[in-house]
Amino acid sequence: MNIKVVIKVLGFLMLVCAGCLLLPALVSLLYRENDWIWFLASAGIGAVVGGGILLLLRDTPDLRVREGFAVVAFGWFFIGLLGALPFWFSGQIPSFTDAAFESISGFTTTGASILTDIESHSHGTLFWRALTHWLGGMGIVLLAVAILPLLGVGGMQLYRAEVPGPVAERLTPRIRETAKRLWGVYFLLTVLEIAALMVAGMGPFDSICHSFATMATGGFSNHNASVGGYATPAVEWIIILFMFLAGANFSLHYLALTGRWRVYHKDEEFRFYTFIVLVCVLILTGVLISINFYPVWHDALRHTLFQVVSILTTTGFGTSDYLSWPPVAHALLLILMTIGGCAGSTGGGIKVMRVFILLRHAKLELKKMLHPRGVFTLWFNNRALSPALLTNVLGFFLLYMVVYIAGVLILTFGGRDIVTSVGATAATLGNIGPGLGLVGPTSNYAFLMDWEKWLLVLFMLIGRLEIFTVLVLFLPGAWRRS
Amino acid sequence: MKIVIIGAGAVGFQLARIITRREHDLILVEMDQEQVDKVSEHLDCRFVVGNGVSPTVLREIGMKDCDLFASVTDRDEINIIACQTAHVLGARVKVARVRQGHYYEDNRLVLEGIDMAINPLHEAVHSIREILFQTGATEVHEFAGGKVRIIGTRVEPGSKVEGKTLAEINRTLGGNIALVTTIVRGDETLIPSGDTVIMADDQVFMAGTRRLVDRSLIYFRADTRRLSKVMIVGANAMGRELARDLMAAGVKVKIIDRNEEKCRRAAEKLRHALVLHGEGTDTELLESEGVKEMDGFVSVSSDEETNIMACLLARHLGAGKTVCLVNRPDYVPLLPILGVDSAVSPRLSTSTWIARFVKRGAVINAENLGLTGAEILQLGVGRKCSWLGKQLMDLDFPSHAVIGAVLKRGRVVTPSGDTVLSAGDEVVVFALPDAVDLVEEFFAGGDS
Repeated sequence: MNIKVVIKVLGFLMLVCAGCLLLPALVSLLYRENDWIWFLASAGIGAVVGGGILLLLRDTPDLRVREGFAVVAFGWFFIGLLGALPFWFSGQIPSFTDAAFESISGFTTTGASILTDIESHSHGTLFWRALTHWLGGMGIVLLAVAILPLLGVGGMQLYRAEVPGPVAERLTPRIRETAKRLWGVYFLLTVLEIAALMVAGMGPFDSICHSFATMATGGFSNHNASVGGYATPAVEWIIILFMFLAGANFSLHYLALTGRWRVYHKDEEFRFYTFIVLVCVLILTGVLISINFYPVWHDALRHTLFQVVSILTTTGFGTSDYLSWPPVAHALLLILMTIGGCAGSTGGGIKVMRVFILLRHAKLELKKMLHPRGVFTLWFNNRALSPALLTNVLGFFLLYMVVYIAGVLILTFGGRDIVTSVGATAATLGNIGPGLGLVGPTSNYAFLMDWEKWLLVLFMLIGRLEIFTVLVLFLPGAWRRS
Repeated sequence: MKIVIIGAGAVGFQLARIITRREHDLILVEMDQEQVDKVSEHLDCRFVVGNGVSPTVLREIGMKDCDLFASVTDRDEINIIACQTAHVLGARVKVARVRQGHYYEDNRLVLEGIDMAINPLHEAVHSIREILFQTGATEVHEFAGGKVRIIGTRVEPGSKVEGKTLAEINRTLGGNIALVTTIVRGDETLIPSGDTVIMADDQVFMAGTRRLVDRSLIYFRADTRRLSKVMIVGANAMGRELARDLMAAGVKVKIIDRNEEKCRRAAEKLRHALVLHGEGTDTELLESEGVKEMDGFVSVSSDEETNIMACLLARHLGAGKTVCLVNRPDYVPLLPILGVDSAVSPRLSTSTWIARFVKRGAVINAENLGLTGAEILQLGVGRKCSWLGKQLMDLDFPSHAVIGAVLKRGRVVTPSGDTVLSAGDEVVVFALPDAVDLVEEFFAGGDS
């Protein structure tokens, strides 16, 4: 591993992040709040560190695969820490652990919060929370690839390490163009949602923050009662739609926007994604209506649809407390947390594509029992899946489960009850936010001990960067100089 | 007619043999001196040792007056480039043997300068498909755009036609029967008359319209199984294309190959076929994969002996129709005796296909009758024939040949003794090997 080149790219990322910190400072000034100075100070620190690195390290070799992993993993961690500074400096969040938790939860689009009374915080703080989501959603490294021409060849390594899903698709021959287009689609959808929410009667500030959180499948809301706090069905329907779009592959959106509408219908992952939503909504609505939980059927439908889409896409917004629903709902939502969004979306979790491939693989294994001499290939989107990719998916699933179980074990070892431990691990590893038990949709993560918070921060990063990128750095071979 | 053939391999040699039977100037170009020595004693033609792609070689042979240029080496690329070079140098009709599917788009070659690409594999797959889908048929030919259909069928022991004469059968059906033109009995091919007795295991060839042939077939065969499941041995290009064809028609397909790599590649190309790794002659595998429920069993591996054995085993285990790929003419007479229903040979059919381009007087189209050496010829009746206006029974027609169908202004007529042929009619004639030339002369009329 060439440490110099890693540090140099980290310097770039610091500069990008410092630039982004100017936005909440502006918001703060606009609302005549006095914490703008702390955003500016944090931006200054980022600029000095980043700029200093760039001045010191001029000539470095190209980025290779190993460095790509290190850049992305450390980049996310350090940017998360930089993003925590304004919370901490301004005293909005007095403990540094809490500030880092909030910031990294934002960047990784988890949306797990330690704020107990959200509405009491300044506009600048709320805006920065939403902006961390938005930057982390499409990927801050991808943003750097899109706006900085200097990364050159190494861009693909970074893209592969950061973009979710087993295959990193190229929309264009040049990686920088691909990054630009994905960010373009992301930007466009965000603007559309802001407009839609404003038409539905939400204020401009809340519209922007919620749109940031929706498109990134983050889940930070400006209300203690999350989206439910608005009690406006129109707002909920709009957010359902955009959460659903954010949980789908952005390459599909790009192709659809360029006139190829049929890609949605042709894509097996998208069809399966829709299928999961429909089946779960059908079951849950049926259950809730049968026990008369909601007196009106369309309330039951809207609330289940909102919850199912919110959890599956790993957004984590809430309109109702699903913990008060019958146990089968908890089980279903826990499964959805683990599945997550589509590959190439802003969602977390294992990803629909991987689950689909795993199920198909399981079916083939059964077929093999019937035809012991049969030679089978796994078909996905009308193409034979290469055995290497299948192994990769199997390996991913295995590692995901290992980390999952390890997380539950460690938390219970520290004395947490099993439901909370499972819920918190699933919710942070899958970048959802609200979990089960004590960390349910109406509670928050503030009461956890510091070591627990740092553990969950690690899970958020592992989950957002899809395990391999982070875990590969624990292999001694990754650090060898060559 | 000046004809140039590139490549003196199996296909080139076969083609040269067909062409030199007639009076044409043939020049055979081959790179390998040894191969030239091997074939030169059997062929009456000029040999050029050299590269058929080279413009120098081709210019020396003279392309300006070349009427037919056929490149039939084993390599598609050489055939394509040779034809294109010949095109630039001015050859008239260029035919290339191109086997790999990826050169084609909708079964057409989109390259400039090639008049016709011969894909024997595609031809063979097409004929296997026809055989499988035509219930009871062991062979299917079509002429005049499908108007005239020729079907071969095998007489099962105990069939109701066994032991009867053709006249008797004709009477039972009230004359409403397709014309039985040829009977293949063991290694003997004969042109039947009214009092020929049908025997078990005879392969009977009938000609007529599709409806007539279908109806007659039911009388000859009780078997009316619909094709819904087929097992293919050999996951090579041919097996894969056949599988794709059959699946497109809604047939369930299982493919067996002994090579694991080939199996894997087949599984990656054929989504809905079940690919099995194993021997086509492995009884246990065939049984466990339900060979006895198969309506068709096709063996197209490169190993002919395995193909024959696999078909025999499948037949024994209860499979429906069996079709086998055989390239050695020596084996052909054995197949009916052994009980294999049909055989196809892409290599032999390539030569006959290209030979169609060679001008043969009145011949419009020609196909081999099975692998017996007999030919089915479609001919036009010339204006100069001296016998025009006479009834068929008064004609001095070659004895080892028979007219199977007559096309009068596009309508199919079953010929009988009082049919009169007029200029512009077309006929489909079955001719044993020794009668082929006589038939051509007969219809060429005053020309010769």
